[in-house]
Amino acid sequence: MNELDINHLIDNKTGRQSRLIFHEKQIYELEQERLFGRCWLFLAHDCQLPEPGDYFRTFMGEDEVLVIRQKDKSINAFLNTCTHRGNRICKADQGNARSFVCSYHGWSFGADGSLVGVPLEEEAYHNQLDKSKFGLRKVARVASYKGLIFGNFDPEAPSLEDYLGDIKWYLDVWLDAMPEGSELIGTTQKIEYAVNWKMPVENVCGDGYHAGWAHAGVMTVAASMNVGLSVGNTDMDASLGASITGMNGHSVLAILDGYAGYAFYPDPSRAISYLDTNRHTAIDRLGEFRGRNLWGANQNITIFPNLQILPGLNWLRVYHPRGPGKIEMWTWAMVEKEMPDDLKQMILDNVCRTFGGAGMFDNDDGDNFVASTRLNQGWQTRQQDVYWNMAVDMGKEHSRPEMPGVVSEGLVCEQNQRYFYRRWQEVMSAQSWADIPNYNGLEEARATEQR
Amino acid sequence: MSRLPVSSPVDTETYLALQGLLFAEARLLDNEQYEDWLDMLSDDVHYYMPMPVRYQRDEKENAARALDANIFNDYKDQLKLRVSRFRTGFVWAENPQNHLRHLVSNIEVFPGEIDSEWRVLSVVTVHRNRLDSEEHRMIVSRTDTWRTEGDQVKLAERNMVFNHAVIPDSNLNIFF
Ligand code: FES
Ligand SMILES: [Fe+2]
Repeated sequence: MNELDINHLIDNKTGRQSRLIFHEKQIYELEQERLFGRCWLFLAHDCQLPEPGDYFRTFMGEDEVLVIRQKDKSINAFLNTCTHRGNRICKADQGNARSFVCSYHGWSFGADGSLVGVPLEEEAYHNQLDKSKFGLRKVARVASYKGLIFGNFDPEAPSLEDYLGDIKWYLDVWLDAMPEGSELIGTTQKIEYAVNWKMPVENVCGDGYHAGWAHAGVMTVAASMNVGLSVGNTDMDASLGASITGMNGHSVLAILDGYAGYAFYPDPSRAISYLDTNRHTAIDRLGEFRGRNLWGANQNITIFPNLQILPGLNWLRVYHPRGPGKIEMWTWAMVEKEMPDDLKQMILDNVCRTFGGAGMFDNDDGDNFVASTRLNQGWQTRQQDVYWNMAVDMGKEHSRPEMPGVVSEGLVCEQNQRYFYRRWQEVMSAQSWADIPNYNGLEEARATEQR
Repeated sequence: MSRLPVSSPVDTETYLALQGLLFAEARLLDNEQYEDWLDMLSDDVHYYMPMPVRYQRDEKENAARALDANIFNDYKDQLKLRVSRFRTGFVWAENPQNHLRHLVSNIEVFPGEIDSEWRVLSVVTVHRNRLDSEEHRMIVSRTDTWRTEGDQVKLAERNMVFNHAVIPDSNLNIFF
């Protein structure tokens, strides 16, 4: 698979895509190397490992990693594999440990990854093993942004701040509206199902189109039971929404009414009163536009390639690929630290009921993605292209002075998906970070467009 | 869960009656008779199933500091909402009708905290077959409280342990 092939797989001018990108093992392996091997990937939230020795076992692409809080409170991440014969070092999901002892021959590693103990070191190795050369393989870079910890395997990658670029302006609506900031609550909901990892990501990143039909069942009962849909002082009206992208492939699907995130809460009043009480603080900290329009509304934020953060609906999700046709999807509930405990519990429960394993929204989506993935096993089928071509040549893309990025009005608009795949193509076809363009707003996006 | 004696001290008649309720419940769920199933639940029913986490054995206490994410944490209103979503006919994943079978086993019956209640343990294996040969099997252990209400015995609480580290299906449009 060379650069030329990658460029032929997707045509962003027409929205055409080859279905091979959801199926071919070769493309998948290149994704592991070039996408997951180069992009900043979400590891954990600060609050999940507050104390020295706290650890969290997760994945960067298919690579299993162990994220560990150090004595000096900094964070390191290591491949979760023993440097002797390759066994797994840590089998627990999370916890606290002073050291990690491999269950195969008993080598032990410190929280800093160093090899500290080797059974029979004298008798069997005659003290000739240079332990300093056998520490755990460290993830090249670890950095955090306002509580979100990311790792990157590529020493040449731009800084996390530069990588995030203008999406920080939207992210701050959750991370920085309140002085204490944000946290994740609840244990990890893990779901494995048979989809290509890009299917759910492209859906949440821009697909307002499916909501009315795929979710017709839950939307109907929500409306008929008077659950939300009209909260605060506004209706959740799609015409108030915007699709925002550019931003190096990161994107937002935003509703701009300041309340709509709570539309699916059986009793939104608890959340509304929290929003009303603290609205002035949010406006002080974020300015009038974000404080009034975005804080409390729903934003689907996608951090390229596989992290999604939905302030308002209040969940954060990372998609771990498991081969071209399978993922493990991990979800947590997001809250602001200042929220009262009963509101936090209500948010956690509502997240689980709407977007968890038995979540009434998630449960509508899964099988659509499964089929869109599975059918590509047919040779003839995968020669057929698929399209993200809604309004592709209508020139809807524009800039708005009050918000960064490339903006299109409305949530039913396939602009975000096109930019997601444009980024996919840029990263996949580049030899190194030096070849990957950098753009945020419309002019930059146009100027850096390839071909 | 408080420590239970090794054997069920209730009489055979009580045991059979409660076993019969569990089997009837399984049949209603298999046949999608969800309104009838809701009638088997007390009005204050609490139906919950936390997402499990794997900790080292000596760290289980540490686990207490994390709030559970619950696959289900429902009271009657939420259960009714799930059923009415299903009844809209717009839940595409359930059309055509899927094969669904609840196999209930390992039933033990103990007296409850008060005279009119029983604590009932069971294991349910759920078999699902949707499109073609796609099959999923899930195992959930349940600790129930069944309570006498008038001439009926109703499910007042179901505390479920999901015996999987990862949810193995793309949806859980079902009850356990
Ligand atoms: S593989 Fe870990 S000690 Fe041998
Ligand atoms: Fe959806």
